[in-house]
Amino acid sequence: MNRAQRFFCATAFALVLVWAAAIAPRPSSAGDDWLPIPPADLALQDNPASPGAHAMILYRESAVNEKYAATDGASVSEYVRIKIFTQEGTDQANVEIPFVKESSNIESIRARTIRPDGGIVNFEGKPFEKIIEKRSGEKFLAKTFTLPDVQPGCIIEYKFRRQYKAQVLYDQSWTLSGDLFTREGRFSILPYVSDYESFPLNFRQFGLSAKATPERQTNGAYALTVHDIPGIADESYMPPLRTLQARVEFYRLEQGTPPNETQDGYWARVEKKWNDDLEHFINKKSVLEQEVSRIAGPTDSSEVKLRKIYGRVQQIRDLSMEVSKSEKEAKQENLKKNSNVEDMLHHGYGNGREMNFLLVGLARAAGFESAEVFVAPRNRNAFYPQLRDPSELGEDIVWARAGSQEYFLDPAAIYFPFGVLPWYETSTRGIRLGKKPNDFVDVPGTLSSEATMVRHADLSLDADGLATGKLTVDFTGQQAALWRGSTHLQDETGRKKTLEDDIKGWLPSGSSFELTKIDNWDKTEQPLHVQGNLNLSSFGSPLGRRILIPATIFLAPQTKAFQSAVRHNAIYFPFPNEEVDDFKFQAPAGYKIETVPATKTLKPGAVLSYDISASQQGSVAEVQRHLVINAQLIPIEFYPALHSFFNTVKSNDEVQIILQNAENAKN
Amino acid sequence: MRKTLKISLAAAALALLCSAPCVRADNAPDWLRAAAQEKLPDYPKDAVAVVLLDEQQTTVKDNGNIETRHRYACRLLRPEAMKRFGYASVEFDNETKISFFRAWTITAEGAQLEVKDKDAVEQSLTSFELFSDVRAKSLKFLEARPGSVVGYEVVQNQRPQVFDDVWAFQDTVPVHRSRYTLQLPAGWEFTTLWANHPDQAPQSGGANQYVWEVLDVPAIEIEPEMPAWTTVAGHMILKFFPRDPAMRAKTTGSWNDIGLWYYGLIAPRRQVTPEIQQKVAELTAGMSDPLEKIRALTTFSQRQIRYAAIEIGIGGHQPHAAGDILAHRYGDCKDKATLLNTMLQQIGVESYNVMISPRRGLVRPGFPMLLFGHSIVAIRLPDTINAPSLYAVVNDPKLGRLLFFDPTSEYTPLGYLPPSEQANLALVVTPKGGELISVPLLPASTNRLFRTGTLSLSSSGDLLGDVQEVRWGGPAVASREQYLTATPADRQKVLEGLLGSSLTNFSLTSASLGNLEKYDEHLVVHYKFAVDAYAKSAGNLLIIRPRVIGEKGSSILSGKARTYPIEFTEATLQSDMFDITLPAGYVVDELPQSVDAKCDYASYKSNVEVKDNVLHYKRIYEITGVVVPTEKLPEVRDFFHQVAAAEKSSAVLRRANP
Repeated sequence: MNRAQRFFCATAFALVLVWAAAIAPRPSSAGDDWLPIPPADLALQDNPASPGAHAMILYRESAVNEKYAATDGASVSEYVRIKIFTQEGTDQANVEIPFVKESSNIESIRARTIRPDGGIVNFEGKPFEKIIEKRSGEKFLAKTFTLPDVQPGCIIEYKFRRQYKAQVLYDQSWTLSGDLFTREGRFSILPYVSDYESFPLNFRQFGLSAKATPERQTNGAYALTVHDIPGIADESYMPPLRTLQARVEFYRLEQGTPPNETQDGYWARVEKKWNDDLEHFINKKSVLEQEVSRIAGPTDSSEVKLRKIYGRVQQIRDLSMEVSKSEKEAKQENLKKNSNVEDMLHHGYGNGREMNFLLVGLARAAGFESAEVFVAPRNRNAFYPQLRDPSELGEDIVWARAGSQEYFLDPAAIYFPFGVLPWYETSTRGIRLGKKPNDFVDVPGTLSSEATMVRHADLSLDADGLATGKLTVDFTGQQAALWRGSTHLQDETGRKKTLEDDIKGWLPSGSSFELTKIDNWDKTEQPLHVQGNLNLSSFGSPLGRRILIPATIFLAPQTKAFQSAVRHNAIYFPFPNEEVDDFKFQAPAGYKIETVPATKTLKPGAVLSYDISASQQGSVAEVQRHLVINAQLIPIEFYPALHSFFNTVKSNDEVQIILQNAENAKN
Repeated sequence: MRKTLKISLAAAALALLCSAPCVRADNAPDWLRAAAQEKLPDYPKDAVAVVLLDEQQTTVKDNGNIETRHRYACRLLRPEAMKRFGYASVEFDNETKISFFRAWTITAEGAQLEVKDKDAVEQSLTSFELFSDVRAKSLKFLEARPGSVVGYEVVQNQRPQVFDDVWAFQDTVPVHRSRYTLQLPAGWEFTTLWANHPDQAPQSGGANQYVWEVLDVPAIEIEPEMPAWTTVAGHMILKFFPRDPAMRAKTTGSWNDIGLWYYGLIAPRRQVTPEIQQKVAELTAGMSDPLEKIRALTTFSQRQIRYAAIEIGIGGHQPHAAGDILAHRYGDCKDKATLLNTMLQQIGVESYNVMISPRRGLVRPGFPMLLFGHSIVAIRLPDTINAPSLYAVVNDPKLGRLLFFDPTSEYTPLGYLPPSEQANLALVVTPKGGELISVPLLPASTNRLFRTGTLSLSSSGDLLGDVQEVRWGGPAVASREQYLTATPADRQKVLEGLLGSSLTNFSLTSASLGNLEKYDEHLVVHYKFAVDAYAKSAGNLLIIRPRVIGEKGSSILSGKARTYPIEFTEATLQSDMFDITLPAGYVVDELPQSVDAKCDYASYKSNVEVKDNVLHYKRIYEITGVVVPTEKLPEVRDFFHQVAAAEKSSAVLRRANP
């Protein structure tokens, strides 16, 4: 996706204008004035605020005009001026502006290149219209063009108008940060005003200081000017992109929204609507009670009862986990709608949300307190109630209480056993329905011990350094569920290959791994158990009377990601986790263990720890290793410590066990 | 878990499902039903699908237009088949329009389902191009699951630029039956070439109709460092010869014919404009040395003309006008070549457009055909130029000394060629026609990495290093690309990434890049670093790996036995010399043995010795041939085993007075 795509994505929700088409005046024609080029910008060699960039946005303007939305359609005028510093930066001259044909068009594209000497080369060509995707009734297109005579030192600029169809208002947003640094950005929106009906415009902002907020102008427009917005670097283990993007989103409240509604009032109203849907769906008390009586026995403890209910719900066919169907396929299968839990139990299928609704209903029927909780999926975004953005709550889970014990459950996550939520539904905020208004809840995080990878290797060496033997790996919690989920559309052969390939990636080059067995694939309460045969050629290094072997056999992926001292973003681990390793090395015949590495423990803080120890018993050396990452988000200022920690981990993983020829050792 | 639908949308979707009437049964065509009934041999357990029928009927009309009817049937064996075989996808452009497109599924239960052209999704197929009119139409097979047979039929009407075709009958899944039918007008002729499969004569299917069929072709299994799989897969190449001599220009009867046809396309684009004359004068002002002038123009075409491809219709073959390319300062490979040819002409240097395939082995010398895909330039060197640094030179008996140059390869300097263009066949296009020339493999000595380091080890095992790397040829091109595409702020990351494959727990204390943007000069990387606990301590021993930096390992050591040749990137000569001062109080207990490994394609020598408490490590690694045939694979595998072992070998130091 290029710069233009990132900045100018069309928004999703539309509000149809019913009134006021007749009396609105027509828009004036757009001007074609370019802004003056300051000589200092032409002479600019680098971005002083962020040295070494290939290019930077000197100026960007985005002006939304909804004034004539009823008659001619709303429009957004965009203007971008970019300074090119290097040959690599000339790629910015290829511009692609996506749009949806049914709702909008891209018009009045103008572009030009200003050479370092001030000479101007206008873009005189005709932009191409590229089909991104065209299907029955929908055309996703892009206007694409490339600017002429672009070289380092140039300034390029272009502008265009996104013209929407009349009588529809689209939500607008300004994404202020992209991959390039922006020196100055000016944004404005002139809202639609009707004599007949009110469509008040609201906005929410993210990633901007409180001072940098859209200000109301005398003509009713909102305007915002920003300076020095850094580009976002792409790095591994970085937080979700959306949590890093500075942006302003405009929206209109639904018709019938009370005037001057408070934040509490807003969420109480939204929550009530969602809860009404839930209550309507589960309003079959006798059906639910009958089902509970079939599932759980009177002597079952509370937790056992809840586990059984959870297990029953997970037996329902989860349509959300299946490959999406075309309209014709759906017709062919002729699935009936579930109006309520009775339908659902009868049909034996439902979508993810319906499964959660069913769990709430069954839990209540079994005497538990239970409610639906809408949460922010933290792999995508966070939840800020003050922004009044229901779309932030993109996931839902179930809360239940038995006595003093609270449970957060998601049976629709069919590969997650009782008590284990998908990681992006943990350590996040949400809103619980029904118990009381504005019942914002924090979903607890998980412990590293709940997502472990336990590896045992039992290897024999030969005198040439070849190591062969068995490897077993047990994945628990998140680790197991993620494997089960990511391969759920594969068959056993496919799952084997996927796991085998992944494990091969942990090994040094020249190694092979043949997976022989996977256990507990369907027993989600059990660790996912994998075993197979390892063949590590050149694992040991023969050296005269000795053989040297590394203490560990796997490469830790974090050590590569954090090997550089340079880092731009905070560090984000999806979930706390642990690696627990136990390796046994049988020395070749005629060799004895000369030395094993000393025990090493690293614990630079509360969230990271590492232990490695080795022992010997006869001709067998055993190494035990334990790496704990008990962190989620680590601020950038702690990166040097993290960098040092993982470098030291790698260094200690590489310490060597020394085997010595027994005959020589005697001498 | 992700719920894909909001409540309201979910309700709407379910309402739609609920109100749907039962769907009437569709009828799959006879050919698909017959294919589904075929008795099949046993396939490997991991085969995701088997192609039951892949049939192409090519009907050539006397006016040169061609209609192709493609029928394809596939049995899905495993869920993984959905990714590639869950859709019928057909490429087309303004010259290859689709007149009929339908797809069917016969489910394991026997239900037959049809989708039509109106259900298709259309997408642009641009990858590197800014714009191209090539698109794809895709139909999603309904109810495609393991056990289903899916199939489609498509008819396309083509107005070909040249009369040729490729019947590719081998795939990465087994093919049960593949058939090609050629219907020619009376008086037309054809010729074929079989590749990676024994020749087969056609069966006659009627008047001027020829039919070829192959059965049970095994799947191509992708292996690391193998040649492009399409070059080792079985295929038949066809050419048709019109009855009408006036249409013979579209026939690729000889390399000369192809050259003439292509020259006809490029010649009008090489018109000199005043702006071109002015630019050439400006770039070469004050220069008298012809090589200096050539270098100025090649550098300009390579670095000042931005790569941007706009290809519509014949634009896939024909460049834009040289004047436009200069004015816009952008173009694709053939544009860059055309502008450079035109500019060279202004300094009195003759040059030619050259067609070459980036997939070595695809072009067959004995079967002229338009199978190239990339354009470069051959510069006819004046007799006065005799620079030893120009390696990519061929002495052609007819055309003289030709210097090959690729203006699209942004970091490859004059005198070199990108690796995929070496040891390859290139068609040099001249006004008199085309000439196929073998472009040589540049010798290992032209692609050098020379690394020297002075290091010192402390008694605690910490290592301080001062290393200089000098690269030229291929290694310099690859490094320059890495460093230049990173921002200066991130270049440290690039270097740390390279060192990270050899070192652990290190910190760079200084680094500099010499001649980074002087592509004709050696790239010099100088850096200093500190490594904590580089030598591992074990009792009174210190264990140190003398090969401090640089890995020559190969992925061919992993996995099962290979079927296909190995293709190395390029011939190269790389050497390392490290002098490591050992800590006082330690003596050498054991040193790695010298290694002298070699095979027909490579050699590796390493040696460690200690003198005056300094450990001297030397190694030389050389690749001399880039394509290793299958019969030589064991030898090469054994060679890399020796290299891997040598790279890991350590020296043991012992405390003198424990």
